[in-house]
This record gives sequence, C-alpha cells and structure tokens, in this order.
Amino acid sequence: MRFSDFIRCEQDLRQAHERAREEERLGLTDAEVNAQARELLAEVGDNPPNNPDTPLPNPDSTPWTPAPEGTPAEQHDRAMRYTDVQLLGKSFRVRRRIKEEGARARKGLRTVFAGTVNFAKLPIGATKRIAVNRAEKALKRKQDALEAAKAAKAGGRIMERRTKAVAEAAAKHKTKTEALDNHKTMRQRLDTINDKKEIRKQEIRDDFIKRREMALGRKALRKELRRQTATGSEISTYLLTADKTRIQQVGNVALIYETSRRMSAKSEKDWHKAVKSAGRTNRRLTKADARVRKEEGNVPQPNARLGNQIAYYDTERKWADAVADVSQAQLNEVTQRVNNLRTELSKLTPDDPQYLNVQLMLENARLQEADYTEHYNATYARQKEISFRNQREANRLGDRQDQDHLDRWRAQQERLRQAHERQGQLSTTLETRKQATRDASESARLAARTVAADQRALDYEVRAAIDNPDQKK
Amino acid sequence: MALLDREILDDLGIHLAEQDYASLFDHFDTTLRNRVIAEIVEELTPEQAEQLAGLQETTDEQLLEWLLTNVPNFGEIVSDEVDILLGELAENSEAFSNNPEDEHF
Repeated sequence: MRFSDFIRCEQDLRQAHERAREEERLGLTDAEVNAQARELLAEVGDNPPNNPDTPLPNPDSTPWTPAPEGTPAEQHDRAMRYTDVQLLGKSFRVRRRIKEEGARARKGLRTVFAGTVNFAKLPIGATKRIAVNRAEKALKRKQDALEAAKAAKAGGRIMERRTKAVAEAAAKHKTKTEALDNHKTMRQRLDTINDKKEIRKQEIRDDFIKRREMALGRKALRKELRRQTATGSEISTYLLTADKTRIQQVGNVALIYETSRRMSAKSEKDWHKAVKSAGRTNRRLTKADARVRKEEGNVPQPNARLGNQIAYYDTERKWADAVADVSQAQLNEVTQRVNNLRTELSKLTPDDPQYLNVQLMLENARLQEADYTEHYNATYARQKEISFRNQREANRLGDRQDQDHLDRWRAQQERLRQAHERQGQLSTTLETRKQATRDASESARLAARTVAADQRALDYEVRAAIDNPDQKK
Repeated sequence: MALLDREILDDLGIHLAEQDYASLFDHFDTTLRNRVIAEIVEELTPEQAEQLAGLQETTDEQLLEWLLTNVPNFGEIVSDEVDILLGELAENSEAFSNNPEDEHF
C-alpha cells in the first residue's frame, strides 16, 4: 500500500467515526436517515423546500442531554438557546446529505466525461499505448487473483471463473498489443514514404539541374559550331557523338558564365538605380538651396494697410491740432491787441482827438475777443479731443503693426531654419547616395570583369571540346 | 501541350496558391517563348529574319513548318531552352515556395 493510500484510508476512517458520533448525538441511525431521505426525495424530488416546516422538539424524545456545566447564567442561557434541530428542522441533515451526495455524483460524472473527452483528443498512438497499459494491468490483476485462488486451494467454480477471466484478459491484451504494433508499423511506413519522397524530390531536382548543364553545354557548342559555319546536320552529328562528360564540362563552365552574367546585369541595374537616385537627390538639394536663398531675401515688410491707417490718423491729428492752434493764436492775438489798446487808451486823455478812435478800436477788439473766446471754447477742446483720440488709435495700430511685423519675421526665420535643415539633410543624403553610386559602379566593374573572364573560359572550353571531343580533363 | 504542369511542380516540391499557379505557367511560357525567339533570331540570316517578320498573319502550323525548314536544329534549340528553364526552376524551387512573387528565372 502506498503512503498516500494509507493517508486517504486514515482520513476516511476518521470521517466515519465523526459521522457515527454525530448520528449518535442526534439519535438517528443510518437506516433512519436513509429512510427520511427517500421520503423527502419522493416528496420534493431533487429540489428540497426552501422553508421546511420545523416541528418543535419534544424534550422527552431527546436521548442525549449535556451535563450542566458552567455558571448558572451560562446554564440559563444554554437552556434558553434554540437547538440546531429547532432552527434548521429535523430533516436538515437529510437534505444536506442529499445535496452532498448529488454534488459528488455530478462531480464524478463530469470527471468521467472529461476524461473520456480528453482521451479522445489524444493522438492515436498515445490512446493505443494507454489501452495496452490498461489491458496489461487488468491481466496482471486477474492473474494475481487466479494465483491467490490457487494458493487458497479454492473450489472448482472459482478457479474456472478466474481462469476464464485470465484468458479473456490475455486475449484482450493480445488484441490491444497487436493494434499498437500495427500502428507503429504503419507509422514507420509513413515516415519511410515521406523520407523517400524527399530523397526522390532531391533526385528529380538534381536531374533537372544536370539536364540544364547539358543543355547549356550543347547551346554553347552549337553557337561556336555555327560561328565556324557548320551546318545543322554537322552540329547534330557532333552533339550526338560527342562525349557526354565533355558536354557537361562545357555546360558547367557555361553555367558559371551564365551566373556571373546575371550578377553583372544585376550589378549594372543597381548602379543605374543608384545613379538615378543620386540625381534625384541632387535635384532636390538644388531646390532646397533655392528655397534657402529665397527665404534669406524674403525680409518681411511692415503691414502696408496698417501703415495707411496710421498715416490717416496722424493727418487727422495734425489737422485737429492746427485748428486748435489757430484758434488759440487768434485769441492770443486779439487779447494782445486788446491789452495794447487798453494801454494806449490809458495814456490818452479824453480830450485827445485819438481817444474816441482808440476807444472804438478797443471796443471792437473786445467784441472780437469775445467772439474768439467763444470760438476758442467751442473748438479747442473738441479738436484736442480728436487729436488725442487719433494719437491713441495711431499708437494702438503702431503696436499692432510692430507685433505683426515681429510675427512675420519669426515665421520667416522658422521657414529659413527649416530650409537650412532640409538642405543639410539632403546634403548628407546626397553624399550617401554618391558613395552608393561609387560602390555600385565598382561592383558593376568587377562583375563585368568577371563576366569577361568567364566568357574567355567558356570560349576556351568550347574550342577545346570541339577540337578534342573525346578528351577529358 | 503545356510544358509545365502541376505534376512537375509537385515533384520539385513547389506548392503555390491556386491563383499563383496560373501566373507561374504564364510566366514560364512567356519566358520560354522569348528565349526561343532570341535563339532563333541569332540563327537566321537578315533575309530569313525579314521573312519571319512577314509571317505574323500565318497560322501556327505554317509558322512551325517555316521554322523547321529554315532554322537548323530547331527542335534541339527548343528542347535545350526547356531544359535550361526547368533547371532554373528546380534550382530556385525552395525560394519559389517561400515567395512565389519573386523573379527566379
């Protein structure tokens, strides 16, 4: 027995003891509990009632009463407490067992079902191996039972039944083993077929490549023979009678030439691409240079519309100032004249013939001063107000014009910076592309040189093959 | 008769999407035709080349008859070009299965 099985047995035993003690405490035997369970199941089916009728307990029917212990208050409290039976009802324990047993059964069913599903998902080889293991264990178990019966010198019927069981288990084990062996055999065959398929594929591929070499060799020889003015029949005769190994040698050299020719063509193509790309970048750089020059010369000017408005306000302001100044000058002049005439009049005596004349002139001057004063009072303040307002508007527009000018200058500086940045990027790119062009040119030159060398090797090989068709290297 | 079919491609281990087969066959036929024409033109005299250019309106049978008559080793040329092209296909078969859109021959 394994240790885990021992532990499980111990746990089961402990649970059985606890269950027995509980049954004893409540005064119900297993038979009574099962009878109650059957009755309840017959009444409510699988769904127990939510609010079972809880009968009050009969104190005389309670077989077990705890010994009074603790303080009197605790004893009183304990006596006043409801028991589990009073709270939960007599059938609660039965319902709980039904629920537990049902849950255990459902769990068991789910486990079996999941095991079946998982087994079906296993690879066929694994299921067959598991089946063989199971059959082997069953056979071993039945053989042990038979041996035990033999050891116990059991009767004829037991021996007969166990012998028959061993024979059946052995037959089953044999069937399962044969199925597994068949599976392994078929798997090996499949693997062999796949391996051979790969080998056959490689053989076919090699055959095609070899035929290509032969064809290239024939093609090169045909061209050379045609260059030497051989007729079609002569070419056919030569190609039919020439040694195949020799033709293949020529084909091999022709293949090398063909490969280098293709590489050369690709290198040349790459070089053309690099040149084109460098030219494109160069054109972009030229545009970027022009853009930089344009932005450098594009110094932003003050806003003309705002300038016109400011000039208008200045003119208006000057006009208003002039009007006010004229009005004040006229008033000053006439005041001065009044003062002068008053002084002159004070120097004259009333008998003086000029006195009346000066007095009249002074009167006129006073009237004129009164007019001018009235005109001054009506004009000067208004014109000064107009002048002040125009001055304020002109200042405001001037500030706005300055800000606008500053913004445009900043935007121009940003554009100039971007143009410089683009110019720098394109300069770097152009250098890279120029280097790539030089590299591609060098590669193309080398590839062309290789092609020329391979061409010479092919010509030499072809001529040697034509001169000595049977001679091998 | 198609020179290239799925059986050959399967033997070479080339497996493509359904629409890629048709484009591969077309590309194969076009490439083979161009190469054969290039080889034939090298074999012809200028007068024969002019005659060949004038045979655009004739039927395929007449054109074939003219080629067999005027082009020496015509069958061998075609056979060699087919072998060369199939060899290139075999050499690049693995790359073909990886990315059939690339130019491999």
